[in-house]
Amino acid sequence: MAEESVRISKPRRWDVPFGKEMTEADVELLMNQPPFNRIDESKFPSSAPLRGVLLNDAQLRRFENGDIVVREGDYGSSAFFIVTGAVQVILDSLPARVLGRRESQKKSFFQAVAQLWGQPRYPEVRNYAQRKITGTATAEVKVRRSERETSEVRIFLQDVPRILSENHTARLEAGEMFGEIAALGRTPRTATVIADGRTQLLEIRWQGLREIRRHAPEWKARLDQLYRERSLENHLRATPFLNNLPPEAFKQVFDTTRFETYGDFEWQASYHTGDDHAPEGRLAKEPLIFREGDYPDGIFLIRSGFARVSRKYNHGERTLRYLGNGQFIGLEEIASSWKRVKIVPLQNTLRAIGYVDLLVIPTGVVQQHILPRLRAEELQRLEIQPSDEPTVDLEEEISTKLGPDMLEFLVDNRTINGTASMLIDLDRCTRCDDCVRACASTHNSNPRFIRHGREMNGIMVANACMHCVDPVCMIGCPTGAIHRESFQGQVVINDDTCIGCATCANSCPYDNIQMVETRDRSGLFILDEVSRTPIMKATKCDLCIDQLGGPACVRACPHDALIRMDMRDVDKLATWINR
Amino acid sequence: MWTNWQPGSTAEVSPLLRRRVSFTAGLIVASGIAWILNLILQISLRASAIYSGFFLLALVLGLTLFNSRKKLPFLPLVRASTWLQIHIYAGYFCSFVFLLHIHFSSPRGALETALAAVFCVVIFSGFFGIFISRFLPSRLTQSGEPLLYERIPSYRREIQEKVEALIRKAEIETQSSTLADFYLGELRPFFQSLPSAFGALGGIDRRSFRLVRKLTALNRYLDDAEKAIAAELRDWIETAQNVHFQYAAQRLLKLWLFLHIPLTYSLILLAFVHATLAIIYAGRL
Amino acid sequence: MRRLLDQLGFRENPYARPNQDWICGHADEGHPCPLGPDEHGRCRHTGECFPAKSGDRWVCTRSEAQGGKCTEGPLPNGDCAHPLPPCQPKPSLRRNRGHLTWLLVALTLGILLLVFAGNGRRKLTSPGELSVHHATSGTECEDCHTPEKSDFHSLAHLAIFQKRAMEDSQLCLKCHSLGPQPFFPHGASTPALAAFTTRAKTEKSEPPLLLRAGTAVANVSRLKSGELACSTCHQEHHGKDFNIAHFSETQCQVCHRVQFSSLVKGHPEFASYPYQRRTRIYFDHATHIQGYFSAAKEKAPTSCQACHIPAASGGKMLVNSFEQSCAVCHADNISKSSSVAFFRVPGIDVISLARAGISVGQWPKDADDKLTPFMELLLGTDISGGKVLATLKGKDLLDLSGASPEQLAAASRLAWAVKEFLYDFEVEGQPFLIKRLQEGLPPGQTSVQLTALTGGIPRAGLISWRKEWMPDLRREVSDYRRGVLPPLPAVARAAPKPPIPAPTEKTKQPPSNADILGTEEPSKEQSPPPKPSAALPPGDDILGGAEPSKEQAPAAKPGATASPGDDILGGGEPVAPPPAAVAPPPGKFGKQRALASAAVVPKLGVGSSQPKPESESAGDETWMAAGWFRAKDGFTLSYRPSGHADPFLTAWFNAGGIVSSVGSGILQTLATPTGPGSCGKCHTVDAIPNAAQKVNWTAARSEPNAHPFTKFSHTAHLSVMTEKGCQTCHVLNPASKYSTYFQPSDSTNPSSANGDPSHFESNFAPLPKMECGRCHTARIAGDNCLLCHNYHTGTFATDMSQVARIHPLEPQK
Repeated sequence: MAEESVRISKPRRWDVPFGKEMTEADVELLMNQPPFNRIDESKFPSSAPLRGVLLNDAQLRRFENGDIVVREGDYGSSAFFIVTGAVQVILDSLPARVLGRRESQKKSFFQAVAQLWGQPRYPEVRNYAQRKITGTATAEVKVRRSERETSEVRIFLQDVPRILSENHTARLEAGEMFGEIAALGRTPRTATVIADGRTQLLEIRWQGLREIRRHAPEWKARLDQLYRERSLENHLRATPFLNNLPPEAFKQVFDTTRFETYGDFEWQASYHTGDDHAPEGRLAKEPLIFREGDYPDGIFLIRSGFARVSRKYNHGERTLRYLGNGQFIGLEEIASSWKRVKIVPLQNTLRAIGYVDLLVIPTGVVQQHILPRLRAEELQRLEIQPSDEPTVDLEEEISTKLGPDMLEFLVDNRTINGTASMLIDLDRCTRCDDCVRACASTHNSNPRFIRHGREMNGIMVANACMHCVDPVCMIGCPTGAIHRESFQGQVVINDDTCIGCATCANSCPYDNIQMVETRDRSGLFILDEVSRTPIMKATKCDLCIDQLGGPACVRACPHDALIRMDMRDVDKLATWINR
Repeated sequence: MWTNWQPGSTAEVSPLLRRRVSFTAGLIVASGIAWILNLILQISLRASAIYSGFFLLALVLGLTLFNSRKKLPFLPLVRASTWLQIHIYAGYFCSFVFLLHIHFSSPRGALETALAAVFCVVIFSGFFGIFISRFLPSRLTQSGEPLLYERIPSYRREIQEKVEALIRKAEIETQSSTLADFYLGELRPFFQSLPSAFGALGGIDRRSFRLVRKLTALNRYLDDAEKAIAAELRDWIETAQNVHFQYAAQRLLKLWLFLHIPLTYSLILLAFVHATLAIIYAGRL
Repeated sequence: MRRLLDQLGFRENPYARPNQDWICGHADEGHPCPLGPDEHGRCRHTGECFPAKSGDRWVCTRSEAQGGKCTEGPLPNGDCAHPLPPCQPKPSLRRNRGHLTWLLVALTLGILLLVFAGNGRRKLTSPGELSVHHATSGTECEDCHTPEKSDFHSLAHLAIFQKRAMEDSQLCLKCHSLGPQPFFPHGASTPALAAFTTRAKTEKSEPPLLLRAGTAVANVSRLKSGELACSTCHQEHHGKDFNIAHFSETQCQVCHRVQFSSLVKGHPEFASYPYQRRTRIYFDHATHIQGYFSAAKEKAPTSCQACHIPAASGGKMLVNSFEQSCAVCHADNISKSSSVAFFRVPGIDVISLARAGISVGQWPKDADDKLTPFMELLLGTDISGGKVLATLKGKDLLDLSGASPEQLAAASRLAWAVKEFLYDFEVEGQPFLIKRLQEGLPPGQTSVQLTALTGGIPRAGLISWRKEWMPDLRREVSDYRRGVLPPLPAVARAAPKPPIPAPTEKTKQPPSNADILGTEEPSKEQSPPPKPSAALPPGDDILGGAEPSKEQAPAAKPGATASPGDDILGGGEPVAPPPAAVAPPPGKFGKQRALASAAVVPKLGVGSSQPKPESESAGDETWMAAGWFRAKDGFTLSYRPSGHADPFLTAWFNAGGIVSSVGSGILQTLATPTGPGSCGKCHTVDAIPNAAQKVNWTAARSEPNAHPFTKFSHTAHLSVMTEKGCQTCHVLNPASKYSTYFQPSDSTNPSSANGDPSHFESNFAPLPKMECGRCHTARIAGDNCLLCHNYHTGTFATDMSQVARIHPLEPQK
C-alpha cells in the first residue's frame, strides 16, 4: 500500500469527560459530604472507581435564581444532585413560551448549499487529518464541547413568584436529587425545575448514575424511593380521570397505587435471539400482566414501555392494540361491574412487550373515589355491553383500521416503538434509490439507512433508525455519544465522542445502527495506531436534524412512497396505509 | 395522554386523488389558454411559431430542472413528489404545445425532423416511464421478497451455488442421477439465464411453473431423501423466479432513463440551433 | 416456501451506496473488499488486515468480526498473508448513464458541426420544401433571403427590429411587381390610407372577441415605416401543396379600423358596387328596355345575353360590339349626322389691315368665317401656343377697324400663317401636316395615330381651291419669307383690281367653264330637294340624290367622263390636282366635280347672282355621303364621317383629348351629342381634372393587369341566378337620374358634359349586401375576404426581364 493513511489513538471511555470544569478538587469536596461520603468506594470496580465516575460522568453547575435547570419534555440523560441551595419543581406543565424553547441549530442556507461541492468521494470520510490529531483528538473535542457549553443559552423565568403561586410546586433542598427518572427510564423530563436562589448542582449523566446505583445498594433503594414518589404523583396527575380529584381523594389514590414492572429492562437482548422473530410462541414469551377473564383488580396505567392488548380468537389470540406511555386499561370493566351483582371480568389479556412499567390503582379506590366523580354519560360510555359478539370498541377500531395482520406485524416487530419509522409503500416505490442518494448527499455522501427491511401488505419498514420512544440503543453507551436531542427528541450519535464500541448497534433491536470503518480523504481506512484496525464509528439516521426542511429521504421521494411515521399516531398511520 | 413532541417533519400524506384531479384540470386549462394564445398570435400576424417555439424551449428547460432538484436534496425545496407531478403534467402540456408549434403536421426540414424525432423519443420515453412506474411496483411487491438491485447478482450466484451443492449432495447421498440430469437439462439454463429487456412487462414467467411441474413429475423416480431435496429445489426455483423478476423489472425501471435523460440534452442543443435559425430567417416577431 | 435471501442484520448488511461511482468487482460474489476501488475505478486490493509492528515483528490485526487473528500471521515484509484477489471494478449504472449523456451531447455537436461545415448545409438546414410556385430547381437561399450577417448580434437585431424581413421582401420584388408602393397595405399610398382611415373612423365596428385580442397584440398596425414585410402574410417552406396566399378573414381585419365577424354580420353595405363609375357608353337601360325595345320589337334584343357576354376570364360581363348590339338601330344616325368643318380660310378685314398699312396679299374677301379648332392646331405652335390667338381673342376678324396695332399684327400674322400652311402643304404634302402635329401634340404620338389624323386630307382639292382663293400664293409666300411683302391693295377702290397681271390670262377661260356649269345648272335645279327623312337610310338618300342627276342629266355624264379636269389640264394649268388626289370612289368623283365647279364660282360670280353657288354647294353637301367636301361658303373644307368608328374623327377625338390648349376646342366641336358623327351621343369623355381627357370608345373591358379591390366572376354565378335572370342582382331602377349625368351641365355649351365619371347614378338599383349574403356564409359558399377582395390592388404586370435574369435559359445541348 503506497499511500499512508492517518493514524490516531482509539478513543476510550472517559476520553471525553462530562464536563471539563470538573476537577479533582471538586471531587474531593464532594467525597467529603453526604451522601457520597457514605458510599463504600471499595465496592466499585477498578475500571470505574467512584471518583472516576464523579470526575468524568458528573459536573458541577451553578444556577441563578429563576434559571431553568430542566424543562418538561426535554430528553435529559442526566440526574441532578443539589449541592447547595434549593430548586422548585413545577408540577404543572408550563407553556413553551415561558420555557423559551429554542430550535435545534440547523445549517444555514449557504452551509446547506455548500454540501453540493463539499461531498467527499469516498464513504465515511472523517477529516481528522485536517485536525492533525494523534492523541490530541480528545483535546480538540473538549474544546468544542466547552464551546458548546459556554455558548448554551441559559433561560430564566421572568416572574418567578407569580409562576410559583400559580402552579403546584415542590421544593427540593440541598442533598436531594432529581431528574433520575428521566435519566434511568429514558423518558422525557416530567417536570420543569427552576433554581430557587443561587444554587449549585451536580449533574451526573445516567451512565455514571447507573454505576453508582449498581455498586451502592443504599443508593439503589433511595433512587427507587424517589423514583416512585416523583413519577407517581406526576403520572397520576397526568391521567385524565384523576387530575380533578380533591386533594384527600388524590392522597388516597396516591397512597394505594401499586408500582409494577414487567419484562426485562434491557429486553433487546432477548429480542435479538433468533427464535423471537418467529411469530408463533412469541406471545408465550411475553410476560403476562393479566389474563382475559380475570377479576379486574385495578386500573392499569402504562408508565413506560409497551403492552400488548389481545383477545382470544378461536385457537389463538388476536392483538387488538398496543398501549404506550400514559395509556391505561381496566377502567371499563370496573365501571361496568360497579354497583352490580354480576362482575364483568377483564375483557382482554395484557402482556408486556419487552419491558413495561405499570401503575395499578386498586379497584376499591377506584370505586370509592373515582367512579362517583364521573358524569353519567361518561359512565355510560364506559359501559360494556355483556355479549358474545366482540363489541366494536376502540380496540376493534385500531385493529380494523390497520388490519389485524398489519397490527400483529407492527407489534411483533416492535415497530410501534418508533416515532419516525421509515415506512415505504412498495406499491408506489419504483426502487429508484433517490431517497438513499438524498440521504447520502445530506450526510457527506454516506447513506444512513438501507432501503430494505421487513414487509407486510406492501408496506416495508425500512432499515432506518426509528427514533424510538424507548431508545434501548442508548443503554450502555459508555460516552453518551448517542443521546436525545433536547426538544425534538431525535436520537443522534455524536460522531466525535463515539468510540466505535458497537454497543448501540448491538442493542438496537432493529439493526438500524451501522458500524462503519472511517476513512481519510484519500479513501483509506483511518487505522488505530496500536491495533492497526480501522477506527469504527456507529452511524444511523439522524432525521436530518441539521438540515433545512427535515428528512431528505421523505422530500426526495418522487412517488410519495416514503414517510417517517410516528407509530403512536395510529390514525395518521391508518390513513397513510389505506390511502 | 402521550407526550406532545413530534419527530422532525414527518410529511403529511396528500390526498392523491384530489391532487390528480386538480393537476388534470390545470393541464386542460393551461392547454386551452395556450391554444387560444396561439390563435390570437396567428390572428395578429405575428410569427406565432417563434413565440410558441420559445415557450416550448422554456418549458423543456423547466422540465430539466426536475433533474437538478434531485441533485439538491439538502435544500428546503418543494418535495420531489410534487416536482414529479409537475414534471409529468408539464410534460403532457409540453407535448401539446409541441403540436401547436408544428401546426399538428409533420416537420419538413432535415434539422426539424431530427429535432422532432428526438423530442418524440424523449416525450414517449417519459410516457413509458410513467407507465412502468405505475405498473411495475405492485408487480414487484407481489412477486415476492423485495431485493436491492445491486445485490441481485450475488443472490443469483448464491442460489446457483446452493442449488449445485444440493445436487451434489443428492448425487452423493443417493446414488441416482435423476435430479442431476434434470438439473443439467433443465434447471441450470434456468438459473443461469437472465430475463429479456422487457421480460418484466410480460407478467409472470411461465418457465418456473413448467419446471416445478416437471420436477414434481419426477417424483416417481425419487426416493424419500431425493424427494426432500426436490422439495428444496422447488423452493429455490420459486426464489430464483422472484430474483429474475426483481432483476428484470428494476433494470427496466432504471434503463428507461438511459433514453429519457441523455437525449434531453441533445434535444436542447438541437432546439437552440433550430431557434437561432428560425430567428435569423424569420427576421420578424 | 421461498427462501429469504436478504438478511437484515447490520453485520451482513453494510450500507448500500448507490451514489458511489465504482463497485468492487467482488460485489457480485457477495463479498466486496472493505476498502473498495478508488475514485478512478482502480482496484485497491489489500490484505484482510493491516498488520501491526510490535517491536521487530509483524502481528496480524484481523478483527474479531472478520475471524480474528490468522494462524499464519503476516508475511515478513509486513503484508497480510491473505491478500484479497484483485478485481476489475465496475462502473455504477448512473456513472454509465452520465457517460452516455456526454457521449450523446458530443455526438449531437459533431453532427451539427458536420452539417454546418459541409456542403449539404443549405439542404439540411432548410426548414422544408417551397410551395410549387417558388420551388424551382435553381432556387437558392439568397434568392429570397438577404445574405447572412456575420455575427449573431446583428442577426438578432435584424430579427427583433423586423429589418431582416423587409430586406427579404425587397427580394420578392425581383419577380413580383406590385405597383408603386408594394409594401404598403393594399399597395395604397399613405394619404390614400389616411383617407380610408378617416372615413372608417365614422363607421361602427363590432369585432369578435378573438379579433379584438389579436388587434391588441398585433404589431403590423404599429409599424413605424408603415410597410409590411411579405412574410407577414406569406409563409414559405411549408411544403409543395401549401397555399402561401391563404389568409383567414380575422387575419385580414387585424389592421382594419372597422372590424366585423362575417359578410352577413357586420360587413358594410355595398355603397355603389358594382356601379362605381359612369358607364363609358351612354346607354340608358331603363328607356331602352322599357321604351324602345317594346316599340321596335322585331329589332329589340330578347335577353341580356344579346348585348352582354362574359369575358374569357369569366370575370366581367362585356358589351358586344356596336355592330352586334347597336347598329341594327343606330347605324344610320352617324352618317346622317352633321359634318365637321376641318379647314377654312378665315374671313379677315383686309381693308382695315391695308388701311393700317399691313399687306397680306391676296385674300378672298368673301371669306367670312372663323378658324376651325383643327386649324389652330395645324397652323403651328406659334399660332396655337403663341400670343396670336390670345391677342385676337374675342376680336371679330371681319371688323378690324379700331383694332389695336398688336391685334392688327396678330391678324396679319394669322393671315400669313394660313397662307404659309397652304403653301407648305402644297409643297410638302402630308409629311408637313405630320410635322405640324408632332409640334402641336404632346410627344409620343405613334406614326399610326399621326397618319390617321392627317390621312385623306385632300391636297389636290385644296390646291385647286387655293388657286381660286389666292392665285399668287406661292410667290407671295416665297416673297414673304424673303421679307418682301406684297404691295398694299388700293384701299379706295371698291372693286379689287387685280394687282398682278397673271390673272388676266385666266379671265379667258371662264366662259367655257360657265357653259359647262350652265349646262348642269338646270338639272340641278330640277333635281328634287333632299328630304331629310329618318325613315330612308342615308345610303338610299345618297343614291336618291345621285340617281336623278344621272337620269335627268345624261349630258352630265359625258361631261363628267369628258372630265373637265382634263380641260383644266389642257388649259395648261401649272398646278393641277394630281390624279392621286382624286380618289376612285363615286363619292370622291362627285366631289371632284363639285370642286371643279366650285372652283370657278367666285371668279365669275363676283358681282353675279348668289343663289347659284348656294344651290350648288347645298346640293354638294347633301349628296355628299361621307368624306371630304367643300362647304357651301366655298372657303371651308368639311368632313363627314363614313360610319361608326370613323378612323379620322376617332383619331381627332383622341387628339382633342390630349392637347390641353386647343384640344378643348376640338372636343367642343366633336364631343357634343349632336356633333359630327354624333360620337358624343354615346361615347363619354372622362375629364378628370388636370389630366388628359379620355374618350371612351369602348364599354368596360377586362384588363389583365388590373387588380381591383373587389373581384367578381359572373360566369361562376350564372348558375345560381333566380328566374329573374340577371335582374336577380341587377334590378332596373326607373327612378334613377342616369341620363342626367351625361347631359351637358350648362345648356348653352353643348359640349360641357359632366366629365367626372365617378359623379354618377346607375339606372340599376344598388346591389344589396344580402344578395351575396344569401349564399356567402362560412357554411355555404364561404365568406373568406379573399373570395371577393384582392389584397394587392392597383394595375401592375409581372416584369419578365427580372425573371429572365434570375433563371437564365440554359442553352440546349
